[in-house]
Amino acid sequence: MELPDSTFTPRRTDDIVRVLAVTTSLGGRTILDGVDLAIRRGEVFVIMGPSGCGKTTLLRHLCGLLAPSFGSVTVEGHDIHAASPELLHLLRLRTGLSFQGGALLGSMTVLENVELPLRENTELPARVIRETARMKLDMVGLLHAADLLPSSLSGGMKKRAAIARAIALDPEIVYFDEPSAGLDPVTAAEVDNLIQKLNQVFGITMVVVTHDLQSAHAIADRVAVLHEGRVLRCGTRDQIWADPDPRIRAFIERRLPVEEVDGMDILRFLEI
Amino acid sequence: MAAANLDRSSVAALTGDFERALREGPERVIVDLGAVEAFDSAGLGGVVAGLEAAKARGVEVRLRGLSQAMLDFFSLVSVQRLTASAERGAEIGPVTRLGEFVEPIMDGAVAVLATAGDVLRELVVGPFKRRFLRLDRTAVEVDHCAAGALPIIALIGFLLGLILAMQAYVQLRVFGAEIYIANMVGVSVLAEIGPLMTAIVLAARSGSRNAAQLGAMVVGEEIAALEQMGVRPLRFLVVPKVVACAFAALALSVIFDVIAMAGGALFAWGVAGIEFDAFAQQLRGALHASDFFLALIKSATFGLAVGVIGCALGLRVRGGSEGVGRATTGAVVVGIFLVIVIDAVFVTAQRLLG
Repeated sequence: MELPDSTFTPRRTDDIVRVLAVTTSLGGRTILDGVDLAIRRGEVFVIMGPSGCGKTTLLRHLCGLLAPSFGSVTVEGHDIHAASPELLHLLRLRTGLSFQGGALLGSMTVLENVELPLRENTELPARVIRETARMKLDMVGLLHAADLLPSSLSGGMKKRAAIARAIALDPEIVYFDEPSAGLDPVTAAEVDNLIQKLNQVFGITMVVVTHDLQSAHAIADRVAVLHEGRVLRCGTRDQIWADPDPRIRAFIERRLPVEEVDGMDILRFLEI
Repeated sequence: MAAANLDRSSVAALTGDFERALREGPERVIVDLGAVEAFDSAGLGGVVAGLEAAKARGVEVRLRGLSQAMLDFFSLVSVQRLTASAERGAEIGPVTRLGEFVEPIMDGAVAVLATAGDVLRELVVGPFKRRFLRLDRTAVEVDHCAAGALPIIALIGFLLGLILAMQAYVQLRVFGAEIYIANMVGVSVLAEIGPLMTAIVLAARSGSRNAAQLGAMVVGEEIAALEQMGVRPLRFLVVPKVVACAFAALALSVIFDVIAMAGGALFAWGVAGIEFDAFAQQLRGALHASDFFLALIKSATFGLAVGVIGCALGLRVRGGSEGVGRATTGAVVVGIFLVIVIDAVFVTAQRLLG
């Protein structure tokens, strides 16, 4: 199989990813309802919102795993959901994805997991593949765990191994699904740190889906707030944190949303 | 209510009283909870159950003497929401129910056919696009499917050979035609028992394994991760598994046949006093090369079917561990069923084609 860059010509645009009017219904329920986004080359872009707002579905659209019912996702100037299988393959090689649970192959060691994209998509000699993979593992601080099976890793180690695998092919974009979910605060901060470091050193565009406010505030250049399948607001981190919209304030200040009071209807049954 | 406590040990009395009161057909029921000193969730669950039953019958209920603690408890829930189902009486029509039964079966059948098509296309068209079978991955699968099943296949083969010879002996002894044990064992093992038993063992060992493994990989997002990395699960996982199953069915059925016939010969020698030479001679006369080839084709087809079903059902898993369990059961049950159906097709075709 060909090397990732041998035939692919990215159309150089300021926006590496463009999402246009993406609408998705799954099982008769509207998950996303006309989402527009533009992600700039080299930034850390955080998609933030409460659970069930459609973040993960949007992420699946962005990396081409799931086609939206309507609308388009353009990556490096190519519509990823209208692409031929060959083009889609090349686009995928330029993107990495770090899954929420790591999604490491359970039958392979950590090193083999990181080697896998290199072995399957390049014709590099085994030695080079091995050292490249070991380098990536060292970058995420997991070289000592190279020969362990994923089942013997802690949650934080799994995420770091998944990041090492996601950057194995030197991608232009890396997507993160809830990188800090299920981690203790210190480990979560380590992962945040790693995302920033990789962004600064390699200029990789990072797209992070999260509901973790602290993490979002720590890493984001720009933020999009998703609410009930729509982009409520998109702007720099400081703009979002200063936004007066009550729904954004509620989310950022971790207040309970105002809900219709429907408890206490036991009163209707009381004898007065 | 006389009981001082309304909890999981005493709630039955309350629901009993409620039922009795409702059966008399009153316009309203008054429940006095004033004497209750302590309560738990089950106790108040009984009260809500009563409210629901009353609502279904259109009877008004008034509660009396609720303590502040009970009111606090009820402030966390909505009685309206809890008793909403009493009003609906949602009846599902027979057509809908039939559809709900049939639809997943149809979907499953389509998925199995699609996977079979994908696998065959990859095997036939792939080499023209410089995509060859992944030998490294296939070897791992063959090791499990074929090598791993060898002891059980040998054991079953040997025992079935003995059993078939014994059954034949009982019948044939009457006519003094013991030598025909070789024909009975040879023909039945080669044509039916060998391919079928091998396929059943394969479905139970490897069909289930493939479904469970791929299902767990879907749940753990490993399949999605592979796709994202530009590794096609079909080529990386499914085709090696299916090819390994077909190869295992082929190889194991040959081994099964040989061992079963040896078992038959051993019985014939030990009990009926037929020499091994005479048994072998008789076998040669009973079996034709075409029977042998047909048996091989049949076994390979069974193996393909078992492999495809396990993989197709595994990749369709939705909904966590429950889904994995369902796919695993399906792989074995549907796999064995389909093997029998294919066998019937083979036999019919053989008859028609003479």
